[in-house]
Amino acid sequence: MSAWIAGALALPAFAALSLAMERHQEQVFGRTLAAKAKLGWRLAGIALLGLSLASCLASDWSGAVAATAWFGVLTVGAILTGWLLSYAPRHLPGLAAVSLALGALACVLRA
Amino acid sequence: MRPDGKPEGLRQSMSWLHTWSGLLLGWLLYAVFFTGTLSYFLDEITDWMRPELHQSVPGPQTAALAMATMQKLAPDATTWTINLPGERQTAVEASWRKPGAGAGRAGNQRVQLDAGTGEVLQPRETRGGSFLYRFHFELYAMPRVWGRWIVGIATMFMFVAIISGVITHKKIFADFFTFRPRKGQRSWLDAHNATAVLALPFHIIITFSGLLLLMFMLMPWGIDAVYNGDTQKYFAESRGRPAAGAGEREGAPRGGRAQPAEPAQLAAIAPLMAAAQARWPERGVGSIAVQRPGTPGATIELREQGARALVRGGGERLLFDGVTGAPLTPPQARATSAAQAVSGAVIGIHLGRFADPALRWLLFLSGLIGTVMAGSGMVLWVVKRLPERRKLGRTPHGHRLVEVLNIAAIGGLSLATAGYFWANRLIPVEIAQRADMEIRCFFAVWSVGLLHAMLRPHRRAWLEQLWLAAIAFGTLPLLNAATGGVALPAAMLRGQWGIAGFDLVVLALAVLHGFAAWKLGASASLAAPQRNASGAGMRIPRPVAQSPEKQA
Repeated sequence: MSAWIAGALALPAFAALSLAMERHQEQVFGRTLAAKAKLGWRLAGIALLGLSLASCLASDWSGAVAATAWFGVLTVGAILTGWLLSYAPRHLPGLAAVSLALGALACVLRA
Repeated sequence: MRPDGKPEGLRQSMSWLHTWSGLLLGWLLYAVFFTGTLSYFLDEITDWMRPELHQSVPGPQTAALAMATMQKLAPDATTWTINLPGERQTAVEASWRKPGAGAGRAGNQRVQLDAGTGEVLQPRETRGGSFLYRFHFELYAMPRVWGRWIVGIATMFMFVAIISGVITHKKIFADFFTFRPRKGQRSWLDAHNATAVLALPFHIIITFSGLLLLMFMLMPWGIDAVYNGDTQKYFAESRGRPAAGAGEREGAPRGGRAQPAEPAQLAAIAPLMAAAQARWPERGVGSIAVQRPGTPGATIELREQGARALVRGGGERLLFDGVTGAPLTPPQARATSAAQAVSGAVIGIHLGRFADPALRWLLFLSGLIGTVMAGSGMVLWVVKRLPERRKLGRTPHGHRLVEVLNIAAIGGLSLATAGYFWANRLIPVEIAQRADMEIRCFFAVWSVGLLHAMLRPHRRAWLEQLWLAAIAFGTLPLLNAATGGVALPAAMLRGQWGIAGFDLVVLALAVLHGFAAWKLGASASLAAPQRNASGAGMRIPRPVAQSPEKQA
């Protein structure tokens, strides 16, 4: 379960981080964003990555397994983000939002 | 290494190091990555390759039935070990040790039991997933030590390639998510970078732990100096045992059966299982170990399924008196030192030695990405030299050699692996040494792959091998159902996820190979006019976009 929550958070985390970059802003929005928005996306991405790590650590795994699982989840999240940016950039924010909602829902259900 | 003799920067020299360390050992590393990744499903592959076990479906009575069978099979053994079915195993694996049996595994007698009936099953002779697993660090048909040395050296080169690759990569963060399709060499470089960078923690851990696993062989001097070359003593001490005779093993009864004891009835297993189940509601019981069965001194030890901790042997145990069924205090586990815990955890990650299926799949995916990284790097070497080749107007022999070896290493290995699974079902069961026959099929198909790559034009060879691999993998679930295995839908319904998982993985492999072949084919049609214009049969048309999934 924890791995799924961590994974559901990793996609929006990397999507947010990519949206802090001008090259990907152009791909997704067709224009670059103001510096403030850039910072906002970056902070959101970092916060989501932190949450994803926390969800791995909150599981009943030992520290070493939790870290390994987190790395695996990050890899999948980042690859998916890169793939969407290459082939369906306009769908990235929507899919990331859906993933975030599912992750949050799973968190609530587990609590 | 600049021809003009000018001093070169760090990045350029690292680039040179990366290119050549990657190319020289790339083919071997690709095979190590590919077979190693499949080895995350070692048990599942072995179960799939023994369809005689597929009808074994565990039930509530499994433990009691297995104990009853053991009573009949080996009433006078000194120990029984019964591995119960779990997520990764569909039959009961039972072994026992006769009094006075030889040391180690050789002294064990082993059978497979049907989990639903307790009957002894007769699975076909096969090396199963162990062949792929052993191949990934010992290769084959050479002394094991040689294979380990070769793979060990390749692993060191892998480490060199990772470090020099990171230094060479100009814009790790700026290009973090960048993949530019349909841009020829650019796309290949992007794919190579993405698969390397996005799974970098995995690549580093897996390479480093691989070195750690082979460390005692690659660097024996520390142990040699302290233990005067007595390696056995080192391993015995590091496992917390006095280095007495080599005969005694962990779990073997101390002293065995000194005098014939009064026979005593073993306690019923069901209440003990229930007690353990209550204690481990999530994982349940993984195995039962009985010492001195049938004597008054008998003990029954239940071990937790899998283990939460990564450190080996970290799972919980419950010990019972074998006659009365009363709980006993298990012997205190020895405290591990911090260094041992770290190396145990690192090695545990490499071996995937924990039960969680979600994690196993994540590791498998990471391994697949590593395989793509190795493959894309090898293809990149060829693609990068296309302009040079165009200028030259011909294909230098070295380039052609790399092309051929790339096809054989990537396409040929996929074909060989699929061929191994096919051979498992097509070679008659009763034939002598059929396990070796299966392995010979693996290498025969691989050799044919090499020959095919040499004889056919470059692009045709890629297309044909990829398509054939896609078909060979994709039809395995049908072959499974047709040759005595449990069909995919039935396996899913019964919850035999090990067997169903195998079928699903080969279907996924079929899709990946088909996708790669389709992409390559589409690019051929785009490049057709250009090819006609130049008229060179061997020349590769402009390479096109490959998604990062190519060549998995």
